[in-house]
Amino acid sequence: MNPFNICPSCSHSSTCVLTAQKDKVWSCSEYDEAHLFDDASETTKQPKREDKPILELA
Amino acid sequence: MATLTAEIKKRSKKAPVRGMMDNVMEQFETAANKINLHPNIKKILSITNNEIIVNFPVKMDNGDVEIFTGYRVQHNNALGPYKGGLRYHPTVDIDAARALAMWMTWKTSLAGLPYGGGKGGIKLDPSKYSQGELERITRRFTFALADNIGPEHDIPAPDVNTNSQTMAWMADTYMSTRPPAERTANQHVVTGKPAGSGGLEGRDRATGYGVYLSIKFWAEKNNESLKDKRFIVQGFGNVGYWAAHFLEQDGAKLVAVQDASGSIRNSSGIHVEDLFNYSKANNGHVSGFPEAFDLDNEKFFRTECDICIPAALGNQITKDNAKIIQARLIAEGANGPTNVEGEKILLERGITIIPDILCNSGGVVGSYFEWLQNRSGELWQLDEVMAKLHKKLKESFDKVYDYATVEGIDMRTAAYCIAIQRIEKAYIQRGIFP
Repeated sequence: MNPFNICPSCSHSSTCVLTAQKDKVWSCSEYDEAHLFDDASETTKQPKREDKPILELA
Repeated sequence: MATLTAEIKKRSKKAPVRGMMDNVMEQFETAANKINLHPNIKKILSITNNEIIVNFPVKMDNGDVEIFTGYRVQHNNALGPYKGGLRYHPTVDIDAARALAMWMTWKTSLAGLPYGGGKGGIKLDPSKYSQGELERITRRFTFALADNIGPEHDIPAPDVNTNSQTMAWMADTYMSTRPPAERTANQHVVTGKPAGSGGLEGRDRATGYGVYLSIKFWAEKNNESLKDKRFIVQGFGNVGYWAAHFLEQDGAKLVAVQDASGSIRNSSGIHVEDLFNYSKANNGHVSGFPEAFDLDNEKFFRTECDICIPAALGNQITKDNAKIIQARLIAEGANGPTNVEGEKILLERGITIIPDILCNSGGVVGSYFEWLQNRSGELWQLDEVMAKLHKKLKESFDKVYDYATVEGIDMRTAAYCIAIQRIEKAYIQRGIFP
């Protein structure tokens, strides 16, 4: 992965007309992270854990 | 200069990566050669001072614990505390932070600020986490960085996927780790905070206002008026919109806009506020604006105009389109919009470029004002902020313009020369410990 490439996580990525070099963008005023800061119930994709005592995690 | 002549032991640190910073590195080399930068200072500026990597655990909403990796690279602090953004992105790594930190060193130096350069972030995809999780990640990252940041040492700011809320969490966490009597004296550990929590009035328009001022100063130097000047803007975000807003107030005419959704043109003029309102109601897109016609995207830079403002992303003006640009002035609102080959063609054609490092420096100057305001316990009104921005940016512009004129060089080279010379001077005056 190109370390400076922000296009893949941009919501405009598939339709953006600004550049064909979508592997070289490190800064863009149009950048819009999809679903950033959305509600947890819609974005958090983590398996439900079984209840365990907190101490076991330490 | 005796203290600087000692041989500096060769070090194994990696130099900043090439790629997106190619242009910056090339400009650094050009300017370093132009000013005959002392080789020992060149060695110092070619590497970073400190590179901090922290791995820290955060409890997720479902009770699991995830380990995150955060970075902070501190490139140089010869002029003052490290300054630069924190980005949250899957591609963040030490190389990215290293290159961007170096870029910040030149930018703060040119702006005449008492800052050095830094950059950092966390390797993560923020869309995968809830707001509560992002808050805990941010707070734990701040705790992990501990005294590697501080209001007089290293002052982070928002960047990709971080915002005023992120900064508010960082400030609160950092302040909470201080002794009670010192907490409120540490609010300026970050900038870009919300206006109600120590942030600066007008911070949203600072960069765009700076772009507008750069154009205005250029017009004044050339005894020209902005009235009826036609301009085009690529990117209608914070920078593009505010630059267009202020230019229109001075009588200039917006004739074409391009954003991620497409391009529009109206040679009779596009009313900036109408377009802004349309864009707001249209998912932030300008395409389809009823008072202009949709334009083939490849024709955008061909538009007849006096001023071109690339305010979106890098590598937009290249050898492929530099020949067809009609503008007499390029004002770089974005970072790195003109590449080296494109710039060569533009300069040969007699087109002036106000370089990004100068043109979009209103943002970091705004950050400096926020820091000063917190540090001195003041609250500045919007008109005060704008007046101070005007004064500070005028100083920078005049220095670059006059240097370029006297030396017979382009403004970008002049800007880098000034930035690097300022750091060189500090090293010469202070010497190298011990």
